[in-house]
Amino acid sequence: MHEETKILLKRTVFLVIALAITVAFMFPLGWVVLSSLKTRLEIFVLPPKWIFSPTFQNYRDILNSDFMYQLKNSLLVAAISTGVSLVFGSLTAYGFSRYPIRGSDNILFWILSLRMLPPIAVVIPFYLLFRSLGLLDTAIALVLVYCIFNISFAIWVLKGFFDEIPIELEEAAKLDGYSPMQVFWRVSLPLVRPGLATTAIFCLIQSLNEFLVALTLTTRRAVTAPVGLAKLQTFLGTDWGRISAAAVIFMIPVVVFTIFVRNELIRGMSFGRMR
Amino acid sequence: MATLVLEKLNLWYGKHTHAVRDVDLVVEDGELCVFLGPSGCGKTSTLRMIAGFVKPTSGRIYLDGEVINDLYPGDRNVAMIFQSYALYPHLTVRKQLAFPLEAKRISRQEIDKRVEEIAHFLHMEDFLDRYPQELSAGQRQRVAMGRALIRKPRLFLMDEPLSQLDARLRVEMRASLRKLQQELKITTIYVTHDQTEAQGLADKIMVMHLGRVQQVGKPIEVYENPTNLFVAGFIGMPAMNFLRGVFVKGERMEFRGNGACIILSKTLGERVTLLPQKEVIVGIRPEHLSLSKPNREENVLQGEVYVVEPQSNEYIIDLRVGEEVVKARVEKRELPALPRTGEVLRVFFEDQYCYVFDPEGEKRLL
Amino acid sequence: MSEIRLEGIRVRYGKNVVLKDVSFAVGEGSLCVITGPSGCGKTTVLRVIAGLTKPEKGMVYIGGRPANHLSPGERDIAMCFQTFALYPHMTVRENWMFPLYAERISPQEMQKRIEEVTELLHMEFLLNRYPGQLSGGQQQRVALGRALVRRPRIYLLDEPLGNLDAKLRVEMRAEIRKIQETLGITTVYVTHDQTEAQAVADTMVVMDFGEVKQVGTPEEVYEKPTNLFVAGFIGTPRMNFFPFEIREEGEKMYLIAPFVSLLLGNEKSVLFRKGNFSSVILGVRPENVLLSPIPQESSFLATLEVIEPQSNEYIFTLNAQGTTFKARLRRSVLEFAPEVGHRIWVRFDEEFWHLFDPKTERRIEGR
Repeated sequence: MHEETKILLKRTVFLVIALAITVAFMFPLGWVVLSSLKTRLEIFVLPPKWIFSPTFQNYRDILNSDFMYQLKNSLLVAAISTGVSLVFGSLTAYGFSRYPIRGSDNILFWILSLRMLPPIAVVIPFYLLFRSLGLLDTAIALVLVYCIFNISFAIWVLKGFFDEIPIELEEAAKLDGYSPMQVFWRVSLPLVRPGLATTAIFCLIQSLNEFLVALTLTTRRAVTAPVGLAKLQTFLGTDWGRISAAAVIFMIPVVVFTIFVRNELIRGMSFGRMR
Repeated sequence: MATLVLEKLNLWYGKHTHAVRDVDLVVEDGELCVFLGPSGCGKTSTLRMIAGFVKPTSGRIYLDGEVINDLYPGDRNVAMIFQSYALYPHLTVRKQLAFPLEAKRISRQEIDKRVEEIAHFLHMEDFLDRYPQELSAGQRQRVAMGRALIRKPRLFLMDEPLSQLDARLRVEMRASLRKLQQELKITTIYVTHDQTEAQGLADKIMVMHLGRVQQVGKPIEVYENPTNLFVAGFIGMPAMNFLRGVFVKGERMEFRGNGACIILSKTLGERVTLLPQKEVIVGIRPEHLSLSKPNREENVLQGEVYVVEPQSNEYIIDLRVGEEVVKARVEKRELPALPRTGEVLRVFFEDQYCYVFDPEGEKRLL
Repeated sequence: MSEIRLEGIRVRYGKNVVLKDVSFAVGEGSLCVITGPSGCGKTTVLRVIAGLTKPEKGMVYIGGRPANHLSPGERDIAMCFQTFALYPHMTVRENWMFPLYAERISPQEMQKRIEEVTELLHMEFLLNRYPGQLSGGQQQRVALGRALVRRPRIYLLDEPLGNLDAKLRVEMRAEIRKIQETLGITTVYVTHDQTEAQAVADTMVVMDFGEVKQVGTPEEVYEKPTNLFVAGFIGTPRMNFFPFEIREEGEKMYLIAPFVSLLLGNEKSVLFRKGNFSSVILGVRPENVLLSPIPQESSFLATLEVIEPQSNEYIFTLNAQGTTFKARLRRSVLEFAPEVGHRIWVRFDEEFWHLFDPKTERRIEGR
């Protein structure tokens, strides 16, 4: 009996702690969602109102504003830079994995270090660079900058995944008559799908959330969602209800994408057990 | 028609590792040749050169008379079974089998037909639509075989294909593999470190050690006539007993070494006198040692029982002879009861089973 | 003080019953080998003895006392895991010293033990390496060494030679046997290789699918297997099994199969009449299959399909009208030069018949 109560107690304690952590993390999210459905006045009432009649005015306002155009820009830039990064990143990572040369480790580390670059250090040089190229306030400029960070991330992650694939699988395919490129396309790439999914998610999130570079390099046409959100804080005051609604709308594409690739991530874990 | 010839094959890894040294070999059409040796002896490297994954540093590989050194692996019409089988985790069995054929321009119908044929041949119909992770080791092996055979290659390479199976399955699969190879008459190279497997399967064995060929011959040849110490000690389970010592001429020829003393028979003594050596290594296989009658004096070893290992219908008895330990394989029915540790036993050998080696060059003398 | 006894052990993983009613005893100071095919539960039995897995039902006794409630540390056991479980941040020597610190022995004694084990396992040049720098076989020896440096009440070894070369395995097993004999520590050893089990064991426990099929000495288990599974598992190559129908013709009983009819001796006839058997499975080991170029009594013709030379023997795979089986015999005894496709007369040595009831799969007693 003593044993059983001990186990019960342990389980209850764990449950309570887990619940507390979950609440702590979900709270800000929940708050934003709730705020998006409240009026300006309701948001700041103390004690906070949990039960109220939701209003969709905030959403209507946002949907009719420039924010949707900015969101489109964000998605476009994020998608393109992620796509480009996956292509070049996977090819490069494969190269590093299968055709190592002397100094490969050093080069890889240098590539990784690009990822660690604090954007604020390079933002001004980039501004000057793109101004002379006449590329200020364009999507291309953003894509190029984001690619720097995304490609290095992709290489770093994907190399690890490629390293995990037993080389015999590729040798078997070569023996069957497939050229090295075909082997990459038909054997290696499908087997790193979980890696591609992971990289894609991270790159998308990073690109979508990026603020500083986007702020600096864009003024009107190429403004992205985070900058747009910031612009909702005008000198006339801040409409928190609308910002919350914008934030919620902003979250949706990422959530949807993650749900899509969730299966890939799970499937990847079962492949690992093949050894 | 596929004869394989290796001519003075050498492989260097970087500047310091001479993995394969001057390997010469001829494998006739339809033969099963086993590359046998301990880990690191160069057998897998040689196999990989034949497959085309590694370029030889020097020397030539001929397949059916043409030099294939520079041919891309896929163009050699060679199939391989890897130690881990190398089955694609993302393809079903059916797709695995079709995969090699899809590299060539073969019609979909022809591909499907051949997949059905090979599935039937190797009894794989039941699991054609499963993934490799869902199969047992034996089933995976069949898929690996099917994938290799479906291309109708002219040379078949196998890298320790049975090592993933447990002991019992390994013995069973050996005979079926042999039968299959004989039926199909495909020239085959088989790599293993297990000499039991090598003996059971091979038409011809190439024994390797430290990158060099030690001996090439039929299983029985390599067993009965090892050319040097390494081959003699590697072939045979349990390994041949080696005793270091000298031949001493007295009233009779004797062998003395490390506390062991063997009086040699007259005929053996005469042959031994002709040897130029002073110090030698004498080798006798455990299976050639039998219980001796108490009054026998010639070709006898006497020792104390150290360990007894029952094996089916035999005992492997470790005897302490002087400072050495000598193993003998004795049939259970020869002994009245299980020998006890410390008991003294006498075993003898026939003249022709006494091998003598030169400790320096390790070559066989007798 | 260190005998082990298991009674009615039952272990469940989720919905699977992994061990069903396992009971056997290990005598003090003896080497007991648990053997069986992969997945039969032998490692689980070891874990139950170690205290790493709690049985759903059943008792574990160590030294005559109930031990179910004792933690692994309290049972004074040294275990060598199949997966090595080496400390990657310590050298080989440090890996071996680590368990000794807990044992409060003098530094000289520690040194002595480490030297013994080093010599035994041929690890002289590798003492200062880290596990990551060693081959699989070397790592296995480190794992083995780590158990051997201690002097616990009980050794538990889980496939300690599994990753070694065939040759090294055969060399090492006699050494392990010798150490165990010298130290006299009760040992339970798990392996799927039944030749290894036979060579090393005082007692063998043969298991399949979570059940104990037979317990006995290597001789008993080889010469008198009590059921079909043990008969087929012990012995390499495997015992040949032939299903026969039983037919009475007057006073005599015959075993009938498509390729041969065998006359049953009197003793056996009595047995069969009593037990009312209509069919039987005859087991004959390859070493008891006799071959001859000329026909003999009760012999039948078979074709040679595969010839496998082995040391001073041949293993033949033969086919008699669709029934395949194996024979094993010394080359020196052979009266002819074998060739594939050869036809030869085959006889089963009556002294070594093993008869099994097809329904219960048990041995039919009385030879």
